[in-house]
Amino acid sequence: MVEHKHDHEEGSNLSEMDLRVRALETILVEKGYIEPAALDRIVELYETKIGPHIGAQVIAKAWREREFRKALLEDASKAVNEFTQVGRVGEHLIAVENTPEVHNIIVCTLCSCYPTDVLGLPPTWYKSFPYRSRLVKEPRAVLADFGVELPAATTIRVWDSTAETRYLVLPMRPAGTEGWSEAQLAKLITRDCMIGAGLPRNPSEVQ
Amino acid sequence: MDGVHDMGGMDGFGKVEPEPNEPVFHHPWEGRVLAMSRALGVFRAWTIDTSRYAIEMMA
Repeated sequence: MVEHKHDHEEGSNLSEMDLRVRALETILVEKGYIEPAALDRIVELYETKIGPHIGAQVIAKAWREREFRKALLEDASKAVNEFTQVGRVGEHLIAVENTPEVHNIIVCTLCSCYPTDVLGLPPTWYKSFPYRSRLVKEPRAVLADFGVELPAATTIRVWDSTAETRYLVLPMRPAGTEGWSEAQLAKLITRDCMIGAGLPRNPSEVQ
Repeated sequence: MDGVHDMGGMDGFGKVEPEPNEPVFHHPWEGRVLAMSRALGVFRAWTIDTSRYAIEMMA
């Protein structure tokens, strides 16, 4: 075993990555590219304002209003603008509709492209090697990792995202939710069901 | 070409392991890096193509 002689600096618990990132931030501030307060604001936006609750509002409205559903499926980038809090959706967004015959699920085999404006930042598993590599080859096995089992007759359609084109899954509205408000319906809509890696919650779970 | 930057259909990476109640950032530095990337993108000091090139240079 190699003798460990390295003295740990007292008074600092910063990891090597913390130090690197701090150094980078300091350089960019000194060069006049960024202001720390602006970074605080961006972090806060992603922690509190931009998340799957936005997508859930979109889906709930599409479940209730036929015209909005049509508009969403025709041009999702345009249809979701009223819900996004940070201005126009930058990428081309396409909504893909689940039916009893077809289940849609999204991936980015190249990296982590994701409908960030409506779902927030992608979860770690979405960026993981297992998900990116396997989904296009054995989607049913990947769905099983999420505890989702679909009828054998259901076609599974996998959508591979790009830097320019992102997808949002429009799940099937659960039975037994007739007359529910958008706010009630939104409680059924999970992040995973808008990726296609899950299904909406059972209505009995939220009542 | 396939590889870590284009993984569709590759074998051998095991199961997908979702993390229940995953935080937006696991470490504060993740938020700082994202924010720097976004802030620099505003005036195109850092673009998606530059970013992709840099990522592919790492492996």
